[in-house]
Amino acid sequence: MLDSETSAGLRWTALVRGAREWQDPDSAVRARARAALQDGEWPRQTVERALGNVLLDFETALAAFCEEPPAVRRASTALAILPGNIIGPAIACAYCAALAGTNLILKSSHHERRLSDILVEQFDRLGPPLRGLLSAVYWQGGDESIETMILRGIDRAVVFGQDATVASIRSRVPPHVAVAAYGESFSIAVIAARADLAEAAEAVSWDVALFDQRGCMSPQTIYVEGGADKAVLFAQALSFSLRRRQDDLPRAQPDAAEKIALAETIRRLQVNALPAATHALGTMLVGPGIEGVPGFVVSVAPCAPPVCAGFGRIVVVMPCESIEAAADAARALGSKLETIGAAGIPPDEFVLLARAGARRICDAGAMQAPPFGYRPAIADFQTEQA
Amino acid sequence: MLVLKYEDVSAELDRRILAFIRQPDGGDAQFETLALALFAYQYHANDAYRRYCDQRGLPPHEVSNWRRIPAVSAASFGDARLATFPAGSARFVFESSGTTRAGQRPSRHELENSELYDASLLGQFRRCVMPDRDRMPMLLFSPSFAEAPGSSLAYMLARIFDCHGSGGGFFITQGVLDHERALAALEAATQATLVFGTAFALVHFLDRCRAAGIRFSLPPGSRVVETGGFKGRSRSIERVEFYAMLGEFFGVPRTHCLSEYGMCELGSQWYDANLADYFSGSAPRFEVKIGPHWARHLVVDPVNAEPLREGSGLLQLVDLCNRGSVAAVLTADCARDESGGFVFMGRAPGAPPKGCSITIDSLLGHHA
Repeated sequence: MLDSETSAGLRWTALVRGAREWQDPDSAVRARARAALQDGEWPRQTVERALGNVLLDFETALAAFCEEPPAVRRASTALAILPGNIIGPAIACAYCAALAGTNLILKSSHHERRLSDILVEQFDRLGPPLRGLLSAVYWQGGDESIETMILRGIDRAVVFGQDATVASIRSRVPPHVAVAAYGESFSIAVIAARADLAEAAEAVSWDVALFDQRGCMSPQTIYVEGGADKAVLFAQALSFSLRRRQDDLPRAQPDAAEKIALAETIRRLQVNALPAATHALGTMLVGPGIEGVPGFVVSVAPCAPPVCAGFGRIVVVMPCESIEAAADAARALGSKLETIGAAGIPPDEFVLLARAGARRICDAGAMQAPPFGYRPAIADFQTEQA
Repeated sequence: MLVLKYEDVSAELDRRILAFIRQPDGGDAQFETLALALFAYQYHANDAYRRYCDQRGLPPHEVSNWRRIPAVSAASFGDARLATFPAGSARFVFESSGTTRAGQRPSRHELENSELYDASLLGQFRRCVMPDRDRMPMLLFSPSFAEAPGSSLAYMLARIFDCHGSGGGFFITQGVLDHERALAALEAATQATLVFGTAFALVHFLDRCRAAGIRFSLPPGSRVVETGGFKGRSRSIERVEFYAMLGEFFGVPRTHCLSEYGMCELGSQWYDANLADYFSGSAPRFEVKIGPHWARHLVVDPVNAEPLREGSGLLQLVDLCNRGSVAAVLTADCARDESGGFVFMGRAPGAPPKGCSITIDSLLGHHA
């Protein structure tokens, strides 16, 4: 039960109102975000799905937070350095920080600079407990004068981006500033022998299609329990599902550099692709594209450590002897293994995948919709109890 | 039924390619015959390459021109074992110094023997760098091959030093440029000397010389060869500025400063044409890289890999020296055709930095 008499209670009530606005496709804030992002790189359908996912379980997370308040105190001011590859972290950071009661500075990526302003305006409109809690800034990377001024005024930093970006920020923050880092990481999926291949492929296709494999929760390699024939059949099923996704979740328009990188990646995958020997089915499945650019690429290769292309709806499917064998192969990613999406594996058997060392294991189809407070975490915006 | 043994076919190809290398020049028809024979051999003896050709729908019976031989991406040398001979029987294994993403490996080029490799590197070196003499002192800003046994650059320089050097040596040991020894060797030079090193090692060295106010005036006939290019590591400077520095600090004219282009995935090397032109009395072609007659280049469309008639594109090379791996290699470098060679235009967009210079530079960055 929320204590609406306290400042925190008022803040939480306002946050629930705000979260409901983000979940309502007809709300004014969604309309503004839609308009702001319409000229961006992501198609309308991707924007809608991403915005709808972010605060999907906010009220559940809030209830859990209220029941067991952590034994830490809020940070006074945090800085979130946002990624450019996906939509969502700006909203998640704003709501996590507000839940913790921490002032937050949102530093946008040069890819997308308007969502932060929309969040600031929303918080100001929602009223006093939230008003003034957020501010949005943008500066060119390397502008040391602005950066130094901002870094001096914070006590927490939450950084998304490439490892080099994270390392660079770590090296420049004052010693008292704690950094929560979300650097480069990769995800995989595992399809158990008992899974219905068509259903599993349909579920995985949503994980692949949202953000075109550019996200850290995008399944780069998919292990299929069984022999090569089963992997080939799964690849065919995935190819069919990805064709459907091109209608309801179209691929972003690739730029010239991505077209070149895609051609290069296809050439590289062709070296390791299994021979097309099973039922005469292909092992390099390239989806119909726009302007000569493939809509997707599904390659079937022998079991090996994960291949992580990280763009272009490129997926590598590998057969594996067992679920444990898939987990062992995935261990090659080490600490960079983010999420494992599982199909045909009930949650009480997720332990079979635990040896891979992933941060999170979930059902296939839900990889791109992590629970609120997962990445970033509310704790990222809190400091240790003095 | 005639049964050909792998060893016999390989030896016969080596013999024919070696004979071609040793010719003063090679005609197009002879190159094409050898290239197509080599393609057919590699298709049958190299499993990963055969898979690749089949995936592209280009088995040997579909290819009648060396320009159509399917080229593997240079990065594929890190994705699969691209060799025609059994694993574990390589005489040398060279690895790239490029940065890799999670789950990716550096390129790895296995040599079954070094006969073609040696003939190629020494022949092209003599033609482009030392057409005027048999031996000269060499100051090599590189680790020795004993210290860097996986480095194709260190191997190449070791062979060049053994066959054509007369004093000097290697000036990077345990990853550290021996600045004092290099200074002493340069100051003591009394005859025409070759300085050969990675661009970044040379930049590090010259930066220190500049700070100390040191300049050299190497004897006439001296020359400087840089390799590894400017690939986004450490202090990045413009090519023009770099060559001005070479002239200023070593006292070597621009005609005698040139660049080498090579990679661990290829047995042959390309050099700027200016020094060879100087000695042949032609107008020096600065920045135009020329290859040996046993290796040809194409500039191709970066998306569909079709040869381009004009403009810039990706550099594709067909190198007969790669008998034991894959002869046709598509690099991640941009180039344009010019005056019988190509002009290197940097890395293709989206490609990770790569090159022999980087490992050495990262070491120097820590220790210099």
